Amino acid sequence: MLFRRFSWIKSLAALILACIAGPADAHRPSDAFLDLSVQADHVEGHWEIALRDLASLVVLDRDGDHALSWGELRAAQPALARRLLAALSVTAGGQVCDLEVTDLQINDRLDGRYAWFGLRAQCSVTVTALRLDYALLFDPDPTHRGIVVLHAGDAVHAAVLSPQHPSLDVMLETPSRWRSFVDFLYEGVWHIWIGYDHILFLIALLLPAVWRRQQGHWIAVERLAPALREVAMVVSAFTVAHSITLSLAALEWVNLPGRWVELAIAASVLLAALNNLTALIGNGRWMLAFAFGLIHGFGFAGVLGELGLPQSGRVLALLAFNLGVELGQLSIVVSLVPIMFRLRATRFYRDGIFTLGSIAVAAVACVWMVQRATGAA
Amino acid sequence: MLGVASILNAAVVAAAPYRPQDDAMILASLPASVPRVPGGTDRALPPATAAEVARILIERFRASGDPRELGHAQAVLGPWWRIEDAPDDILLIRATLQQSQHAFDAALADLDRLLRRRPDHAQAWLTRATVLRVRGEFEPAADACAKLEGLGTPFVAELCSASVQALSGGLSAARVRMDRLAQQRVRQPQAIDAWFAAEQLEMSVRAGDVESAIAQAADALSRHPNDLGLQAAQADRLLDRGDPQAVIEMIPAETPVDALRLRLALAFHQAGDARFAQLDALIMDGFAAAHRRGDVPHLREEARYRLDTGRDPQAALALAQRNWEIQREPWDLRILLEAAIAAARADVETAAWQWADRNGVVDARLPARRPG
Repeated sequence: MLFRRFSWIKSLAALILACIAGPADAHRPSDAFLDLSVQADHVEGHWEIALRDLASLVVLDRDGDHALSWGELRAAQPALARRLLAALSVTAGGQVCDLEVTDLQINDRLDGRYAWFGLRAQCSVTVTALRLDYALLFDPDPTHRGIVVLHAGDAVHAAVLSPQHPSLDVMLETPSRWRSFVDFLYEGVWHIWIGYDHILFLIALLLPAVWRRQQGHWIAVERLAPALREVAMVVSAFTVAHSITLSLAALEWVNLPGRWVELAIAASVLLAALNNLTALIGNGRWMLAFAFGLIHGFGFAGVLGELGLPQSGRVLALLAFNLGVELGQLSIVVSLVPIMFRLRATRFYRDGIFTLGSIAVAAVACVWMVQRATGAA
Repeated sequence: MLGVASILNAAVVAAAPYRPQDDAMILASLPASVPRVPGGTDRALPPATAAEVARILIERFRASGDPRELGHAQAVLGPWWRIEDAPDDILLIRATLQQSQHAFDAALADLDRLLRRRPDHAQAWLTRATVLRVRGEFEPAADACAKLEGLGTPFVAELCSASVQALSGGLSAARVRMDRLAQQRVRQPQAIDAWFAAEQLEMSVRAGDVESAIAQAADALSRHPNDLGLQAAQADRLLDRGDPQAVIEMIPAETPVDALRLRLALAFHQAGDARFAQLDALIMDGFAAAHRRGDVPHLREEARYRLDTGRDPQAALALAQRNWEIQREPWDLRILLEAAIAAARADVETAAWQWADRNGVVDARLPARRPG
């Protein structure tokens, strides 16, 4: 009884001192750092564990000198790998991935030396949903925490895993249908705006739309309606034609060599400009728009090919891109036609814009043709 | 959110890994023996044995300052960790562990459970008094000390009672009681003697009795040279006196003990020593790690450290206020007041002084009281 009393006093006083004598310790308990990247059907990364924590998992100090050498750590690698693999599982699509420890290095962190284990988990499916189950060191030290950083594409997921929350479930972000649609729509608009050959072809065909051909002369239309009808016919013919060939090419049903397509597009711009100057085709320019629209469609398909259609939702992406092209085209037409109509009866429009403009377009088209025929930049 | 950002920071902090060239290269020293906790189904030790192993581990924490020991202790108590109605021995040691983790509510709940079963359990009363005292609940703490009379040794009961009295309006009277107790201390076990020495020294410092404090500190450190609490308190006194060089000489540069490292960094800062930067990075990284884990025991230290190294006083005040909700020892009051003054928050300052006056707290280390 005496012994018992003595013993409790001694032990308790020690405990009390730990708590009240001076400020408490700034604690630095056990953390391990797990950094993983998802790559299609596998996960790669590394796991950093404090050396002294490893001593709780396997016998490290083989020669019993209380000092851990690199040789001792390397010798323990197989045993450590077994403990690590038992403490972590990576699951994708309901199937446990095949996890292996691929490397052992050392990393000096601010708070001490850590073992750095390379990891690789091969999954049987493309990883779209990932689950981690973590149990390292929870048995000997429930205050251990697994600090997880998971990279998946541009997204980064982070978590602190504990015995209360030992798992991490992550739905990887696949581009949504809507997101993909908007992206391709934007690309379509953008391509029309920076694709000068398409714009010049269209403008060349539209310049005479505010006039009509009468007895070998251009006469300004009196009302807006006939001008709009002409614009609508040209634009619609161009749109229908390039939509047809764009779809055929994008879905890989028809394939034309890109260089010939580019050359033909330059030629179409030249012909449209020359037609203005010679009035070869007076009131039937929509036919010209349709015929060469077929060529331009192959040109759009080339751009789309560079962007890469998504495997799922190809048709939707194609539709979005085409719609973008039409929107870009429409925005140009809507801003040009009112100005053309306003200026249609002026000498400036007749000589400055129509005649000189067409000559300039023809000249640019000639340069393009030479460039594209010779393969110059 | 703090969460993701701080976790990502942790990932960035690490340098590149490397492969040593030489198998003989020593990577680290390992603790003398890491107790192997039986894993799986065979881990359930008899309660008395488990409690004893956990107690040893908590003592190791006290000696080394290594919080992993607390984790190992929690592992030993694992089979009972979530069982409310655990055996007596387990309840007591679980309360002690929770106290170390600053889970004071849980600790008190366990102690109350144990004391309902065993109203004559001296250890439980003493631990209860300690927890209440740390929380600044001096009346119930004094009541718990009073329960010790006739249960434990008279020396421990008197020490418990005097140390609570010293905090709650009776510093002078308590110091007289300590002087009387000093006659009997030689007959006490080492650990009780160290506790007495720490309390006596703390009272002298609070009373502003510099001469006694110097003599008592020298005596205490010569009797208990490895006591981390005494070393930390000594460093605090030297820093307050504006003698950082003495701290730099006293604390080994490579100390693994966080409490000592923090004071060494403050000494470097005070002395304008270039070694401050490196230690500072390590300490701030440690605070970030603690926040990431959601740990609380570092709040007082972080508030103090941020304040004393000239960082944003608003952040220091926020930490000091969170800490104040958890524990109310003299140091907690001091940090709260200093942070409130630095952050120009007269309302917080006034409220803290009101609490101190209501409880009769006297402490020469507290900042000067400002009129108004």
